[in-house]
Amino acid sequence: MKSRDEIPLRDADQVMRLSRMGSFHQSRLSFMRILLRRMRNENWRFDAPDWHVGADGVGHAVYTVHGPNRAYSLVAFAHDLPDEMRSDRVIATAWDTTFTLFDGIPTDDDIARLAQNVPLQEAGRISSRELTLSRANRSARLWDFVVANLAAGRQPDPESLKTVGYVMRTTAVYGSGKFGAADHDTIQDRPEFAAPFQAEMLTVYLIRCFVMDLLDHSAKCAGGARAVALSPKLRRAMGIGNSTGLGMAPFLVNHPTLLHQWIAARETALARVRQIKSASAAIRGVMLNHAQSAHINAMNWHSQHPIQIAKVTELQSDMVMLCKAIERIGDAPYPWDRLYQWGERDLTSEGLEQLVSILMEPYGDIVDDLADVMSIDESAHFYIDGTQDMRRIKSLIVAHFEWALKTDFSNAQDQARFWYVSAAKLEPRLGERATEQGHELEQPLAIGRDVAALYRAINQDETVAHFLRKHPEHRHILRRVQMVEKFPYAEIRDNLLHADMLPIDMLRCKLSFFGATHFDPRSDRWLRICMFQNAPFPEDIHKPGNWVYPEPKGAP
Amino acid sequence: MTLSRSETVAMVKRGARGAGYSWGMAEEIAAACATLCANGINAQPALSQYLSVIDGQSHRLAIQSWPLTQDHVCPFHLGCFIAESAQDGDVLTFNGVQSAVFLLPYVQRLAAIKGRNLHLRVGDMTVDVGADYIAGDIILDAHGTVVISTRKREFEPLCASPSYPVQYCEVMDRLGQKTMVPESDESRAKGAGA
Repeated sequence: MKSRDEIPLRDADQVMRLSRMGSFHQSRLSFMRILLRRMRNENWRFDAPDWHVGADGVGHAVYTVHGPNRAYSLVAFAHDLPDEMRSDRVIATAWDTTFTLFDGIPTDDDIARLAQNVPLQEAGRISSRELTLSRANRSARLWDFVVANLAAGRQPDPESLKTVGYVMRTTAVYGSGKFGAADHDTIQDRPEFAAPFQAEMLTVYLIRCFVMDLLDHSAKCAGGARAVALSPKLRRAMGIGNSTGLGMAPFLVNHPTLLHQWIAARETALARVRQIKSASAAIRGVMLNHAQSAHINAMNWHSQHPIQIAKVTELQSDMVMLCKAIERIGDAPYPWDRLYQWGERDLTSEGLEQLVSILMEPYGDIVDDLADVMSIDESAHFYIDGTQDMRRIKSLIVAHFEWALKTDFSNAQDQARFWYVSAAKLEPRLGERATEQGHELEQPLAIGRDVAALYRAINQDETVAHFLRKHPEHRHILRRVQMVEKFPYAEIRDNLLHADMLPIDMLRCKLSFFGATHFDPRSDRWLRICMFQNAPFPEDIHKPGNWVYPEPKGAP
Repeated sequence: MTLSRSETVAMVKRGARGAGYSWGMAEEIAAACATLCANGINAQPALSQYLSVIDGQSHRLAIQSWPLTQDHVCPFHLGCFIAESAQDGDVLTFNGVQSAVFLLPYVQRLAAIKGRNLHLRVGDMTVDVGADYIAGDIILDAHGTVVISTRKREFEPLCASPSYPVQYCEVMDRLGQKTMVPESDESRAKGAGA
């Protein structure tokens, strides 16, 4: 019999389903929080903005932050964008604001070069001195509302802000070598970029600082001496929005070993907490406080999408039950394992995955180190072991892709969609196989179907090298089958071609690891989110606190 | 202007797929090109030329049987096979290898697998290859009979800093376009959703 201390990680067949991945929430291991912890722990220093934005709201500003060894600067450009040109879609050619994260402190020549390119975004070109490229548009109605109030000398109605949670939203944050930016492998040996997407998270954090300053600047220009700045409380309640579509969805499929690292870290954290034998009344109180905070967040979570409205309603109910369950958890051994097992029985996927995140909150001492293993050198696991026997490949398929073998891909519903890249937009898209042209140009994202085809093609004992010599068409999928032996969380265990597949589940999974909140699907294939809402600004970054969700009244 | 490594890999992968390679082979070709770039070898012109010539015919140069009996063989197919099958022997000889410079990344993998320093010779091209270096006289259009043998390093590595030149992008882009779907009324209406 296993000892109680050997709580295993949750099985990939349970975790790697789209419906569950589409219920993930931010946690201590989210990339925004990893960044903020580092900035706090290493006492990062923020320079006063180098502000060159005129009364017309046009100009640039530089926000420089100093870590222990290096400085980074957000170079922000503010533009005068006519309302009719404001679009979140990739077809847009102009934005309210554009940004790049510069590696160091830019000179005037650097600024001049960036001014020629950053406002153009994809049509421009940045260099290896830059780490990211981004842009953001105003939430037009709310921006004007807030500026008008501040200009008139009064604070805007908090309830009006709460429903949206941001006054500007990014429509892309490019990094990792895009458009000439520095490749990730050239900066990944820097401790501050060891965890995933840290340059992108730093960019968004500094964008939030800039946007709030631009808001006050606009109000002051409009209202003159009568204008007031946004109150610190409301300012902190404002995040940065993001509008994300299908372009992000294939990332999880295209980076299988990285996906495994993220999920494995999260599952390891859960297992560690479940293994805790006892929790003091004080710790149980902290856990309750976090659950109450998550409850408030759920109550503030607004969506217009029927599926998400139903999920949020269930989550709100789940959080009420969870708070009660924590109150009665008592001091019997293994409280958090008992709580988790109760959650598995009584909570929805939304509620259970929220519980997983909450369970980590009081236990930074045993969770936070997992941030160090969330990156991976993907190239080290790229190569195929050609000496392996194909019988072994077959057994791996049976062990890890049973769901694919059980799927009838001759069924129209099971192969209703196809992933492709649009020639016009150079972006991933999802087509309907029965009615749209181009399925012969399908991207290699049909993992289940291709695994099943590989399985059927294996008909004799031979090495992988000899099999692939004769069947190069199976190379991409065989590589993945070999990966999953070491990385069981590398694959989404659902059919990505199915008629009912929801791309927003893939988006939600990735964005939860970013640390996003308030997922608000606008269709089955795009959504809006909020980032860094309630996060401390630089002047408060060294203060402890649960910054992600609103604090409950009377919180310790 | 130079490309980033990730831009190079993405462009070559699309180009190779557009030229008719399987997705898995296209991934290999992109990785091989990146390895050459990382070792200071600008093989983009040779790759563009090779893919242009082989466009739509890549299956003809795939390995038809083993041992090789064909007159012309693709360096990427051959490279994958000799590295993945961890070919043994003090001297390996292969005839009819096209654009032999592209064998180098696979010989490097073989060197790593075997824990040996290797030497590749084809015509006037003579190169030392170890797990962490490629050094020698590179001739981009070298082809024909390739001899791989064990030899300690005699040449100095070519370049310490990687280079991802932007030359010949238009060839890759043209081939890469063949992997993409033109806009239709339906796709235009749906877009990315956002």
